[in-house]
Amino acid sequence: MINPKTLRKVVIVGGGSAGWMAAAALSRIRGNGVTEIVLVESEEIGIVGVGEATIPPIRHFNELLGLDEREFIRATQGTFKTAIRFDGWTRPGHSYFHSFGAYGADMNGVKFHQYWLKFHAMGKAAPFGEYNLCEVAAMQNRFGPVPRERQIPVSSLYWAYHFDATLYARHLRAHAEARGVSRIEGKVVDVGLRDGDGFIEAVTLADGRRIEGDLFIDCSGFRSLMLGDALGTGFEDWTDMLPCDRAVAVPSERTGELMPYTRSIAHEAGWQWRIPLQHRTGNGLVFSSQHLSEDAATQRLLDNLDGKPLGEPRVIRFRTGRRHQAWVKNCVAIGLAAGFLEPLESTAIHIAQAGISRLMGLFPDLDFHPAGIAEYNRQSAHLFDSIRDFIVLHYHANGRTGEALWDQCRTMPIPDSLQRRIELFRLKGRLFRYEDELFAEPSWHAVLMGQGIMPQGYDPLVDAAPEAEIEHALAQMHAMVKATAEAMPRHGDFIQQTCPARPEPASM
Amino acid sequence: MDDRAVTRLAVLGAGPEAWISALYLKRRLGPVAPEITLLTGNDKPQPGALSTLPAIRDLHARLGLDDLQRVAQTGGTFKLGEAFRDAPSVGDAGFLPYGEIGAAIGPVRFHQQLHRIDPAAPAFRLADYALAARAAAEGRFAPPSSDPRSLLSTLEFGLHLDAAAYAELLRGAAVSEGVTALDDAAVHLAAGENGQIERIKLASGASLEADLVIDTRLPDGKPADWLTVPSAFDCLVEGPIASEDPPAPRTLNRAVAEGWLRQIPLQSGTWQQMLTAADAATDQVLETGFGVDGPARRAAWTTGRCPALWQDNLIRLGPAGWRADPLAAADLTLLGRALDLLCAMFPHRDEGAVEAGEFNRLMALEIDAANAFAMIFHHCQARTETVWQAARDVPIAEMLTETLALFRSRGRIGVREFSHHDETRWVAALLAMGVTPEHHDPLADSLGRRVLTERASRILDTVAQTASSLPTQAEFLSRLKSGAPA
Repeated sequence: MINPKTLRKVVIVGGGSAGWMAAAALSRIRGNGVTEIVLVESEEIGIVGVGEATIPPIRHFNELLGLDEREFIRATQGTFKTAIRFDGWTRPGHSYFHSFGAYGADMNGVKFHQYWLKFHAMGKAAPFGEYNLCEVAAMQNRFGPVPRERQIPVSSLYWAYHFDATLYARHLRAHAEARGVSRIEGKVVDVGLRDGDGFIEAVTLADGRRIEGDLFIDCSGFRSLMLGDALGTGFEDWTDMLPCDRAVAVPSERTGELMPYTRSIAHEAGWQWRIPLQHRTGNGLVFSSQHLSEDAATQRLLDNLDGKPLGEPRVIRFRTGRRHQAWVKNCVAIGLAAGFLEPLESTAIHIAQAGISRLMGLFPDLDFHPAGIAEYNRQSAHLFDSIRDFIVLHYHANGRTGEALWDQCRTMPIPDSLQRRIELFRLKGRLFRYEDELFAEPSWHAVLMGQGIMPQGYDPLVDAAPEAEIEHALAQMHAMVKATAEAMPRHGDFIQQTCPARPEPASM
Repeated sequence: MDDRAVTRLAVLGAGPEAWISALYLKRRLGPVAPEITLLTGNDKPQPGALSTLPAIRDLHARLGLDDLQRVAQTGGTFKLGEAFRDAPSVGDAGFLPYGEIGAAIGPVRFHQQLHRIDPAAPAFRLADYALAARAAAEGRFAPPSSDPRSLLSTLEFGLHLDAAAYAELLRGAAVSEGVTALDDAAVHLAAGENGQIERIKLASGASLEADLVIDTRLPDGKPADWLTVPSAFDCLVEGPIASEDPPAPRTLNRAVAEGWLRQIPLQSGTWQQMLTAADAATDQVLETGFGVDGPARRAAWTTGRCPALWQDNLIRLGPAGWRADPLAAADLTLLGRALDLLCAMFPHRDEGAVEAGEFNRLMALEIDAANAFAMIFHHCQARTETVWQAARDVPIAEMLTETLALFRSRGRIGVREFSHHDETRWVAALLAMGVTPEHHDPLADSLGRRVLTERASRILDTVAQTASSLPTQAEFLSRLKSGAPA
């Protein structure tokens, strides 16, 4: 016997990566023998897909779906990613990495970076990043899993991917369709609400077809056509903390060696991404339209490409912030329909995947109990807010004086939660991660120090350990990281040998 | 060493909390530990018993007290969970076991499986599938096995401790680590110009200089500035009662007409606490604490905390900083958490305001979560006496309101930044109090009922077999005390 309140039909609207990620994951629900899952998408509607960078939790999501890693890389023109390099953020000419994984190893219950602070000030430690395996490998354009016998207790290789999001959506579509999700081609022109409670009853397509459902998943991107338009869910605007509101994007020819990291290059009115894929390079300039016109931004992007542009640059307009609730009545928004944060820390795919996992954990029945919805919204808001703090940190702690956007960001009020963090870190390098926060302590350490917030002191417990012992341990860690990185293959060679993409389809 | 380092630390108090604080800091700070002086003179710890959560073992590991033998020698016993009798209603029995219960299948939690098998089974009898509950019912105990294939590896346990003997044990350990104990009383904390305490004037006329002061003494009465948790119970009467023979490896909470009767078994006898309302209990109950042997100790009770535990260079811990709900059993684990945090933020002299702010913020969340958990037992009962009705009507923490709503709809527990207990324990506590979900997680519907039933009955068999293979607690204790390997 199945709970008679089990949902009979889930309708996903929108077939970008968010829509197909949701479809692929939710296909598991069909195991109850009752719930049907359909996805409505229109080939007319373009997809924002110029190369996507991700963070390591994507590997859990792919594993959950049962995707084979190498097959996935092959299918999406993918590459590996172990870090982001930030150029010119702290000041022009400066650069630092936010690398995945640990920096060194903690000793005597004291964090590694505390020892590093003391010994670096004494001139007895190498730069911070040289204790991080991901970073040292990235700097040499190396990537390859470390065999068990070569693994070191200091810092392990931790990775995410760069890929073409359109191809990822296509790959997931095949996965979802093979598991019984049906696809309906059509453009949604109307959202019908039920009399009385205002739940979504059906969506109507341009050709007049009406698709009814019990649960609607809004993957319509910035349009947010169900959660935002039809249900009128308000938007919390964060433009005062994150003033960029436009991006212009264009792919370019692949040049040089394949880097295993994303680049983020600060400009006077925004920043430029560079995402290396197997067949081309994804580029974009995120900027503030108050400080730079669209034409000037486009020209600036074209002037700063390292390869020939492929196609016309496209301008994308956005508004940073999130919907007050991501789940209202029988509608859950996944991806851009729920909110937008600029891709500075490559979090877009993660936010969508976290939303999907959360929906699976709180999957409703026909009662749509408000407690489950409230919990979903609480967790969703928490994730958005904590990523916002992390991104604001990059803008706020900048040393680019004399440029209007950057001067504004340096002096603007920031959230209390971030202010408290910065103050605590500035004193003795202390930082307390909130239990379910996305970015772990090493990420915060790397970005805080990278952006020039150097602690004035260090933890008094550091002095408990004999100096010679720690100096020796630091030297050993440094040597181990170096040797392990140098034993890795070049990133490009590794891909060529294990997961080269299939030749590009003619239509691409 | 840094010339701003804290070199002189004074700890005020003579109870377990004072000794734990001194011993913990001495061991954890190692070569940079300040000179630590305990002023025991103005604190007269009362006899009594402590019932702790399994996290006490992490604290004991840091204190170097992880061998069970020494615990056994102080008259303590082991605790596999909390039993409830006549709650939520007269005639009911429930158990909150420690350690794992059943086994999840992927994302489908065990209690969801039981609900899928039979939603009508009374509170699904979740605890039946816990080794801790079964062993406790049979009076058996053994520490968890390190072999992950054994069900015994899923067990967790707390401790029942005789407060006076425990303080003695801690004193011995602290003194041998180099902590100085002065049987003198602090009569005045003299602050310097910057508001920081510089000197402690002592009853003997002498004075003690300190860079940092930890106060663990029970304040007189309820300090006016404390933030209190509303409660229908405002009075605690406690004392020893005749021993259960032999002591059971669990704390027992009996709901009686006047309130909670909480029994903490020790080797020498049982310590009983009556949590009641002064205007709801008869004089006889208030005088005798519902039948304790010998003189009952009666005091006004308020659950609450000091709004700023860490202020300048004074840090209030344990009784000086908070009183957790007795049913939370959380006092020592909160102390352990506070000491972890204090070490992670250990200050220099003349500074620490930023650290203090963060410490106070985090500890407030910890303490409030522990109290919200205990509120399950006061709130989710269906007794009809006036005091119980009042207990039900007390406004509850927002976090608990949300948790109850979410659990009642689908048996789910939301992920929280601070929740003091893991998901399993929240589920077990709610079910022990008869709070049941209306439906199970839809993911459980894709699992076949027959397969689940067979699996559950296999788990039940393994639990029964494993439990019956354990020694009784009495056997285990005597083995420990005779020095035989456990």
